Amino acid sequence: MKKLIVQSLLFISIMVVIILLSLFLIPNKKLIDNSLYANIDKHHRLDSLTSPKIVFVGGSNLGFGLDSKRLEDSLHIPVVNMGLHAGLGLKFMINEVKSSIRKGDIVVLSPEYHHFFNNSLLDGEKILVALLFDVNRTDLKYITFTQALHLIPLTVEYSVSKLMRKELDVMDEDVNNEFDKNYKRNSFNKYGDEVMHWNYPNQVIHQMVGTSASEDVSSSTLDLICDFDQYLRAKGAKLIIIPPAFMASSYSGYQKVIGNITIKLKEQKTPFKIKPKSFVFPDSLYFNTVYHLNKQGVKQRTDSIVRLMKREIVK
Amino acid sequence: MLFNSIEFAIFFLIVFILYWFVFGKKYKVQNILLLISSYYFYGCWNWHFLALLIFSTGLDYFTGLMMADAPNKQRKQIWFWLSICVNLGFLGVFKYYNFFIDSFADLLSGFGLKANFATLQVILPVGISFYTFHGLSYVVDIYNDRIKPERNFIHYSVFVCFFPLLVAGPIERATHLLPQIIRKREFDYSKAVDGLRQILWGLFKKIVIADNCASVVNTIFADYHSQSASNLVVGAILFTFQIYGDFSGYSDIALGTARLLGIELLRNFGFPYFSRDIAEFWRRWHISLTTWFRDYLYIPLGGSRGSKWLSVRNTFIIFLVSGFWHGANWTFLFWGAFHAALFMPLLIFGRNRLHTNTVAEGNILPTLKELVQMLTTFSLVVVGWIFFRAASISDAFGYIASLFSRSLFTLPTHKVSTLGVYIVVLLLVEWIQREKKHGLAQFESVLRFRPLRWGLYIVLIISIIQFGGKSETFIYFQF
Repeated sequence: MKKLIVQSLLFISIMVVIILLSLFLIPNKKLIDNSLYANIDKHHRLDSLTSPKIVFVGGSNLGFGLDSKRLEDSLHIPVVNMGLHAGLGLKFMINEVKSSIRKGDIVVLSPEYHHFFNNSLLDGEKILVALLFDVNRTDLKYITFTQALHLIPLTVEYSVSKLMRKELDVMDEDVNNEFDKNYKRNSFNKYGDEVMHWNYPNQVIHQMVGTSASEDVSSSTLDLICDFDQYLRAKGAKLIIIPPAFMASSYSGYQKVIGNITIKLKEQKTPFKIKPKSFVFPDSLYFNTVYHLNKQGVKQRTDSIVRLMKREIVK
Repeated sequence: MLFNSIEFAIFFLIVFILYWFVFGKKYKVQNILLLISSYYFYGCWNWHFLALLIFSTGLDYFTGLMMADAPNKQRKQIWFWLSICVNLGFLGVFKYYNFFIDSFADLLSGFGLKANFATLQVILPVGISFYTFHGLSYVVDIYNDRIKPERNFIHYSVFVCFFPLLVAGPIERATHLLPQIIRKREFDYSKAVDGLRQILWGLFKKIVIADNCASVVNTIFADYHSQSASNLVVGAILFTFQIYGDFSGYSDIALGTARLLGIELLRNFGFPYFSRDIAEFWRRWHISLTTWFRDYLYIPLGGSRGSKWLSVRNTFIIFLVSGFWHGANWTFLFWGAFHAALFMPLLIFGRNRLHTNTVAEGNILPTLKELVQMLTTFSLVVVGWIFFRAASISDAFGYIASLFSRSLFTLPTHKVSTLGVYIVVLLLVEWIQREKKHGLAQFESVLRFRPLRWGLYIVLIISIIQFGGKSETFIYFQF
């Protein structure tokens, strides 16, 4: 038995060394100048702004769905849009802004609906591993212990994909698509909004025909939001939760789930400040996914948010 | 809890540590641990059906005792048939009830009669065909005085519910497994290492071969009407490797896991795609099921002891029942009949035991004749798998009919070059190892230099991790 243990430990150690070497030493060429690098720029802006400020937290529904300049000009409060990719996970999105929040700040949280019933989206997907090891290693400090446990298999998988020179297609990009080819770090403006797509025509969008996932809203997601709300209150900051933009033709398949999310958030006193239906826009206002608005859609959604924020600031 | 999941790895590590380090000196306590672990393992699938499993185990245990203690033959028979009827009754209700009802309704509608029978909305309990057959073999063996009943319920339950074989076999025999359960197990380093290698090879077959084939196969079979004939050929061949990688991969993991616990399970696969005729294929494919049917159905029916006609009839029955065992669908029955039809000429002309050894034994390469025989057998097996995989008989015939078109000579549009490389690796390794028990058995004699051997293991593990994210459930869990 002793021999088996010694041999196994030796073998496992060799495997671990190979995985770590691959993780830290092999560059992921696919990520050079990738849009994930916008995370660094967004952090720079977040840390440079004086309070009070408005911080938008969410996935790509925010990255693609907001005109922060317009908001800033209307409200006369500095704005930063941290929205980048839903796959980074809600935990990471929240943790990465926590330490930068000061008294008087307003955090506007706009999670994708999938964050409420998909636990892998709560802790983060492989794209988070790519961000942590190949884009911005300082972000590792935002990872909690339980989240790290969830990320270990993904990290091993990611490391192996680098080792096999099959650089991970972390963004699900279509290499033949002109927009995807140009979707890079500089696609974002100084506020953190993705603006390059404003100049592109609408793309073919794959409908979401409804969720096969359980219609039970993840209690982990609800707890996370509740804790975040308490954290902000303790700091003298304010949390406002808004629904993501969602494409009209996909809405019916998700109506029940969205209804459940709305009820649960209301029950724990962290409700949507805007009705989800208000952010369901016609298909013509979407760019390339059911969450991504085009320029015209961004304008409509931003107008709604401006009105909401004016009410909230007066309160 | 799938064998190819992190959850199972953690579960097994805990069981392994407790089994050898905490309870290593007392096999009875080890058995209690195995039983609790097995119930937990099964409960992870669906804890509701745990009650059915415990009831089925209890019934066979009890009837075993009753038969052994029966004062006369008549009483013994009553208990025997009670157990057989209840066991097959469960199988019938959960697995075949809806099939018979629907088929009968279809038959009536063929005569212009409308029938509206109630069907049951039942979920098929995982592994019911496997653990029912365990129990049946035990009861039949006691009835025929081949074994004495096990009087310790824990020991007997471990025989039926031992987690490595619980949901997809191999189908064990009391004569083989029970003696191992009721004696002290000693840890054996070389057997443990062999178990680890077999698990590694099983994971490679399942995750790298079967799961990757599955995505292409699913696409092709779901939409075979619009596929070119060359794509259909690719689909059929890939399914051939998918089902082999899936099921033999599962068996390898099961056998390796059991070996790490000091228990030897029955071999289930013997490199079947190197068979030279269909008879040899069936001696190498799902061996534990084939031999089960031979011992508990074919021989009781008279086997080959009577006339040729009787032998032919019995063989046909075995193939049909074997097909039907796989599921309540006409496609499985047809698949069984197809293989029976291929087997019959060999049986009638007395050539069904022509190839009982390993192909090209002692040689590196096969002769041209052997190669042709293997390719012919493989091609026939591929055709059979089309019936097995298709959603219905008409789909299967539609698929085969679509093969005969000019597009057969076009290039397939599905990109399978990487997968093709992995399949070649599979075939190469198994060809080298074909005289051994599994793909990596006694590998130290093949690659004597340890760094090279470990290097190969690392490459296999890396391939497994690379494809680990797309894991699919095992096909044989549904049977």
